[in-house]
Amino acid sequence: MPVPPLQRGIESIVAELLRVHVLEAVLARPEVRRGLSPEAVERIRRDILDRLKASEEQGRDHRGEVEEVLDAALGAAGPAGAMIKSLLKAGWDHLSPSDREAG
Amino acid sequence: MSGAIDLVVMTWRLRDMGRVRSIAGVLARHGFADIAARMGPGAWARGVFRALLRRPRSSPIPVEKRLRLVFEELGPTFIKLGQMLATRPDLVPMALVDELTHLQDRVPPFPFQDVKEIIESEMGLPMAEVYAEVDEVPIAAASIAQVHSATLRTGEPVVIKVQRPRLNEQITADLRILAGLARLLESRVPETRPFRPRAIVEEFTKSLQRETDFVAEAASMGRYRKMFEDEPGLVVPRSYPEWTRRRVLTMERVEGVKVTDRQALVAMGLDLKAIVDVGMRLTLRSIFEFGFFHADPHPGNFFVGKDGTIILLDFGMMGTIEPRRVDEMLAFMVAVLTGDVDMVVDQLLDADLIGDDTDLRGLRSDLRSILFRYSDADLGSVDVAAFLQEVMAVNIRHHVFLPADLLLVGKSIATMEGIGHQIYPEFKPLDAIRPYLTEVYVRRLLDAKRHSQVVARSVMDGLTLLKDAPFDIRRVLRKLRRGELTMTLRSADLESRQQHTAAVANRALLGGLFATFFFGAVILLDQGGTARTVAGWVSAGFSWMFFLGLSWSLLRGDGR
Repeated sequence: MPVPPLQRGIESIVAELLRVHVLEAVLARPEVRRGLSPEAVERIRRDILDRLKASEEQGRDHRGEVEEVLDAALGAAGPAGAMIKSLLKAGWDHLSPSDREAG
Repeated sequence: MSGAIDLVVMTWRLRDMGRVRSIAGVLARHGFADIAARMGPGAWARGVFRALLRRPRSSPIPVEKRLRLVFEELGPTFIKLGQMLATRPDLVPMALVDELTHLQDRVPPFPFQDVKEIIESEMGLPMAEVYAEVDEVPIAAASIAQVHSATLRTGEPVVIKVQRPRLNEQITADLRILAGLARLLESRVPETRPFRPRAIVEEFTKSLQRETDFVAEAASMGRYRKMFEDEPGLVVPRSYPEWTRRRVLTMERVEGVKVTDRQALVAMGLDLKAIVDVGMRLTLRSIFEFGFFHADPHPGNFFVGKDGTIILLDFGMMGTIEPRRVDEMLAFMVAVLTGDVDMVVDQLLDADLIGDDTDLRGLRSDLRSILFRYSDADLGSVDVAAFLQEVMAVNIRHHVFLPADLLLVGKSIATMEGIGHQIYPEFKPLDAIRPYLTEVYVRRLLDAKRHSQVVARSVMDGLTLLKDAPFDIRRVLRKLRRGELTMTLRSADLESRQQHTAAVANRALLGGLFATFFFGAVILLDQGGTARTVAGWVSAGFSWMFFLGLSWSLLRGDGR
C-alpha cells in the first residue's frame, strides 16, 4: 500500500528528531548498556542511523504538506491557532537547527 | 440480575444433567466425593469451591495429580482448560501449574468410518473424489482431532486433520456447564471474584472455539508462513484451502523427527546448538516482532527435518499481542533481564497493572533481591523459566495483575528453553534472549515509521475533532438553551440497592399472594359445597406454592 505524502512528511520530521535528539540518549540508557556488548551497540547505532537518514531524505519533499495541514487546522482555530502555530515553529527551530548533525 | 443467573443455572442443570452426573462420577472416582456430593440440586457452588481448596486427607495421591487425572478423564474441554490453567500461575497454585503441564492430550483413535463420514459431510463429496488414498491408521490421535496420511488426487502427499465426531456438541455442553459454574462462583463466592471466573471462562470459550475451527487454523498457518518467509530454518506446512473445512484440515506432508528425540537428531548428524538457537530466535521474533505466536508450544508440535530445519505444527492456539502491548512487554522484559528494578516497577505502573493496595516499597525490595541474585550469576547458568517464575510469584504476591498474554509469552519462552536443554544441555538461553530483546527494544524506540504512523493518526484525529467541534458545541448549547440536556450517572452502589429493593418487593408480593390464597382457601373450605371445596383446595395449593417460594427465598438469604 502506498504511503500517503502526509505520513512521509511526518516520518521525515520524526526521523530527524530521533536522529538528532533521541538516538544517543537511548543508546546510553543503562538497560541498553547492560543488555548489549559495545560492538553490538555500535552495529545497531550505524544501522539505525542509516535508516533514519533514509527516512529523512525520502520524506523531505513532503514536509511542506505537513505544514499545509497544520496551517489549515490551526487557521480554523482562530487567534489561538495562530499562537499555537508560532509556538510550534519556535519549538521546531529550536529542535532542528539546520547545522546540527549527528553520527 | 441474580434471578437471571438462577434461570441460567437452572437451564444448564436441566439440559446437561447427564453430563453433570458424569462429571460428578469422575470427581468421586478420583477422591473428590465431597465435591461430587454437592453437584446435586441446591446451591452447591460455594461448597464446590471450598472443597476444591481443601486438601482431602484420605488419598495418598497428591490433590494436584488427582485434579490432573480428572481433567484428562473429562475429555477435550477440560484437557484444554487444564492446559490454559497451566499458563496461569496468577490463578492457580504453582504446584497445580507444574502438574497441569504434564496433562496428556492422547486419547484412543476414533473409527475410520467416522473419519470418512466427517470428510464427506464437510466436503459434500465422496472421499475418493478428494483423496486418491487415505491411510486408515492415524498418525496421531488427540482430544480435538486425529491425523491421517493421505494423497491428493493430484498426487501430492498430504496429512488430514479430522475433528472428533460430536466434539462440538460435547464442548458446547461443557462450556455451558462451566459458564454456569463461573456465574455461580462469582455471585455466591465473593473470594473468587478477584480471579474473575466469568472472564476466564469467556476467554477460554473464545480460544476453544478458535481451536476447533480448522479454517481459522489454516489462516494462522498462512500468516505464520508469510511472517517467516525470510527464515530458511523454519518450515510451516502449506495448507490446501480448497480441501479445508471447519472440521477437516488438509496440509502438506512434511517428514521430520520429534525435536526431543535427541538420539535421532545426533544420528542424522545435525548441529543441535544451531537447531536450538533457531528455535529460540523464532519464538522471540514471533512474539516481539510480529505479535503473533504459537500459544501451544509443547515439544510435540516441534519436528526437525533432515536438513536441520524446524518444522512447526498445530496452529490451533495462537496468541496475539497488540503493538502497544509488545512495547510494554519488551520494556518489562528488558528491565527484568537487565536487573533494573525501578524500570520494572515503572513499567508495571505505566501499564496500570499495580493494584491500589500494593506496597510499592515491598514490591521493589522483593524484586531487587531476586534481580540482584541473578545479576551475579553467570549468564549461562541462569534457568530462565525459574527466574521468570520467581519474578511472577513476587508480582502475584504483591497483587500485581499480570495479563494473560504476558504469562503466555513467559510460558512460550520457558517451553523453548526446556526443549533447548533437552536436546543441547549446554544451551545458554540468556545469551540469546537478553541481547535479542534489548536490540528489538532499541529498534522499536527509534523506529521513525512506527512513530510517524502514530503521529499521523493523532493529527487526523485532531483534525476531525477540530472540524466537528463547532458543530458539537453548537448542538450542546442549543440543548442547554431548550432545557433538553440530560446526563446519565451510574452507580454500582445504586444498582445493588435497586436489586435489594426489588428483592424485598418480590418477597412482599410472595407473602401477599400466600396470605390471600391461604385465607381464601380457609373461607372457601369453611363454607362447604362441592364447587367451593374444589376451589378451596386449588386455592390451598396455590398458597402452598407461594409459601414454598417465600421460604426458598428466605432460606437462600440472597434477596430473591
